[in-house]
Amino acid sequence: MTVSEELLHRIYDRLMESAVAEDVADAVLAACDGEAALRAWGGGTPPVVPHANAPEPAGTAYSGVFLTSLTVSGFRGIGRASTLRFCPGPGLHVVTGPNGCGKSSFVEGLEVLFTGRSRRLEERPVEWKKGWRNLHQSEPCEIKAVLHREGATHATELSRRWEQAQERYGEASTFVQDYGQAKIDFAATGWDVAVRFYQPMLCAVDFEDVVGKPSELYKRFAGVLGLDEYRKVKELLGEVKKDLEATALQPEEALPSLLESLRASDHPNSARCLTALDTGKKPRDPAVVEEILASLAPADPIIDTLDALVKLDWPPLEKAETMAAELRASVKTVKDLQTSISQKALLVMRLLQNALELYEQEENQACPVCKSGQLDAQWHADAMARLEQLTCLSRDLSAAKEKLRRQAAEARSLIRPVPSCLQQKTDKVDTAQACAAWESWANAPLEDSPEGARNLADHFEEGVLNLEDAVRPVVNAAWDCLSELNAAWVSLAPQITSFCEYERAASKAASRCKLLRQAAKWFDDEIERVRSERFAPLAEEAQNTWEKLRYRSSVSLRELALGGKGTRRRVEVSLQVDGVKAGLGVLSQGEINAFALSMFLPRATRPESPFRFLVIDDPVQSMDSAKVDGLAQVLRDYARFRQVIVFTHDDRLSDALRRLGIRARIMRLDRNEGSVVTPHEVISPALTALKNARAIINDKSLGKDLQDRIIPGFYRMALEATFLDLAWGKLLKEGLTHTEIEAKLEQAKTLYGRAALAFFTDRSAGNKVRDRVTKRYGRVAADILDECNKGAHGSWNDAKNWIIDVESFIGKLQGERLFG
Amino acid sequence: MTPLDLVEAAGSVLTRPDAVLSSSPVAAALLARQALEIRLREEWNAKEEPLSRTNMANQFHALCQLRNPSIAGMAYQTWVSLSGICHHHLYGRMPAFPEVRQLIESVERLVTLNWH
Repeated sequence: MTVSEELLHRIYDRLMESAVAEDVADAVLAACDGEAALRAWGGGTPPVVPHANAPEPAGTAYSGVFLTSLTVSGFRGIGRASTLRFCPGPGLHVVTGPNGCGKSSFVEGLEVLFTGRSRRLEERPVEWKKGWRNLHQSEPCEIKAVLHREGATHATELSRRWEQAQERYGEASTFVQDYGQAKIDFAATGWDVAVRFYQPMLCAVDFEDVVGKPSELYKRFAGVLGLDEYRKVKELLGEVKKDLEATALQPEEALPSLLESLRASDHPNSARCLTALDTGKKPRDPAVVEEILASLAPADPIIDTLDALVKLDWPPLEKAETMAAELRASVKTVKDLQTSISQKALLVMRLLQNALELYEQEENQACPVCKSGQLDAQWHADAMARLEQLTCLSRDLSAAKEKLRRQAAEARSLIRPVPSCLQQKTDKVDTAQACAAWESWANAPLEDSPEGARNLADHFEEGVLNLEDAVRPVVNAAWDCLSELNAAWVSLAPQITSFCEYERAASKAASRCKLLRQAAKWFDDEIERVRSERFAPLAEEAQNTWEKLRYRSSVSLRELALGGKGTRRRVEVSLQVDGVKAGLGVLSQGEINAFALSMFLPRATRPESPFRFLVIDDPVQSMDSAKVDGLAQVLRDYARFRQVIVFTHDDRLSDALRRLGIRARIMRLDRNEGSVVTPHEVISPALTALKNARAIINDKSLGKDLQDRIIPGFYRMALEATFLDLAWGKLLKEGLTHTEIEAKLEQAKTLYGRAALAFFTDRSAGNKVRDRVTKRYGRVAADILDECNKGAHGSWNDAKNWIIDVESFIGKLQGERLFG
Repeated sequence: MTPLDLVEAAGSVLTRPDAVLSSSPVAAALLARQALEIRLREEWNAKEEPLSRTNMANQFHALCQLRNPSIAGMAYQTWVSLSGICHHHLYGRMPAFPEVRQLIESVERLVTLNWH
């Protein structure tokens, strides 16, 4: 079965709706049933209504996957094993850190784990490719992800480990292991296919790829359109159609060579075949060829005559000589016996028989003939012996005569009348002399006496000699002639037979091919319809995402549509800049990132995807702050039903999330000497600074003097961060754009300047800050401001004792931000 | 504490155990910057030049005019970099370990140099 039961029913319904011809529908259904069914249909077998027994798609059990942790060791920028832990469920995670802290190593590690590839490395020169192991600690080299599957009671671990000798990252394999179970191949989960369609990682290389190659963009969408089964049926239809077309063309391909052979042949059948086949008419009527084949069965008269001449038969010369000699010997025997048994002996024998009868009546009596002799016992014995002797001679003579008669009859039986083939005249062989010789031989003497038998022996022997002289050359000539003709025919006959078979098959294939073309056309139209139908919501989602991300960008995404045919398919992107149509070239780098995200998110979050997590590598870079706010909101929307993990090198996304009140878990990566990469949970910058201050307070090893010198710096950072937050909110309410706000905040470099911006939206009003703080938050808060500022450049005696007051002050300031 | 004491303390703070790692680069930068600022104050006080009350940018400008401009330029560059770490910035990022280590090494060289 080529397709699932569900698709089969859908196609069946569509066929019924389309009112397509029954034969065409049969072809489509046969293609859905599988290759064997379609080929049988092509051969004329009526289709059997396909029964669906689609197996459960591979990897169904491995769906609904969230990331619980990702551990990388010895790979790229990470030496000692470093683990990122995530909450395995929908939500937003942000991993920040400066360049070179190991962020990309985690993303690349995840890509290698799932795809076996690192496209970033693949695009680099060979030297880069060699440097995939960590310089400081290349062993153990392993990537491990712990996954949580929806509904599963146990974790699933995905791991890829390299041995020391392995030089390429592609050499190792990824294995999957459910808790307490044996390891299985990655492919057994079905993720190897799913990751191609719904690739849940958006890496740095993807940003450029999506914009640079419309065909690449199409490829990414094509997978998620779920047209794979359709494609299989389409390929099968095309494949079988191609084979049938080849079958239909076979006679045309075989004909020139066959005609050439027929023209070169002298065989009488060749001319007939040539006339029938060399008509120049296409297609030939198969009936004509059938007829030729049938008419070739009875041989031509010339062939018959030659065949009969070749088959001429007469006694061999040796046999003729033997028979003649035997005849002559029998004649001599008869003659000799005739001499021994004269007429007188026969009379004596009769006389003796009579005398013995007389003796039987009366023994010992006088001979009635001579009267002197006595017929006594002695006479009786002598007479019996004499009679016996004469009887034997007489019997031998009869036998010899009988033998002679049989031999003569046999000889005569071998002498046959002149064969008709010798009497027929052909231009191939001269048979006149042979005919005369046979005629003479056929005229055998008929006399039945020993003399006659002797003549017969002479005639037989001499006749056979004459036949050898006159007929044998005719037979040989006929053989040669026939061989020559047959040789040509022997090679032609199979060619003609094959051609006729081709012609028969071609006739059938041509009619099937026509139906198959219609079936393929119908199916192509159907795929197009489904493609457009399924692409529409994706395109709409991409457009909506772009609208959220573009924020005040003049570039609008008017339309996303599928274009091109076959291998030249692409996603056509219609952009407008201030109402003027534009190409992708107008996009800035930040807009390219936003566009790539718009294309990535709808695809990676398809409900059919087994992956419930998305990993996005540095989408923030080159985005202006307005777009970062848009990005934060887009990520929030997707994080409601997906686990969204974003790696970014700066804090703008974290800031935007915080400002917008979007709940997210933020981690920061620090890279220490020896490629030691450590993740830390991040809270707001103000709280981070306070946390750091507490860390210094708790570190007794530093001593009071150093603590007093360090702690004020962290207090000040906490206050600065709080003032900036406060200022941002106020300036936003005043209607300033993100860019304008950023410029104002960047200009306020001192603690008092920032406080002035926060309280009065005017950084130059620093001299009013102390009064404002004193009035609203009390003198202690005002002192804190002063001491922090001074202490950061020197020291603040017992700074640690102020931690509660600082936290309290900051808390009140944050309240002002929230409640005005 | 002398500038050199503070530089040494900054180096120690930077390489503290993991438990307080995230605070270490900033803490180290704060100490290194103070070392540089003390060294600058000492430079003015030695000649009784009344410059230590003006803001730091002005002091470094004066240093360029009155002392070795090359050393002064290097000192100013190092101080600006350290200040960048010691303040919170919009979209600020935590300083990388090697970056702070290099700055401490610069301060160590500067505090031991003769600035004339």
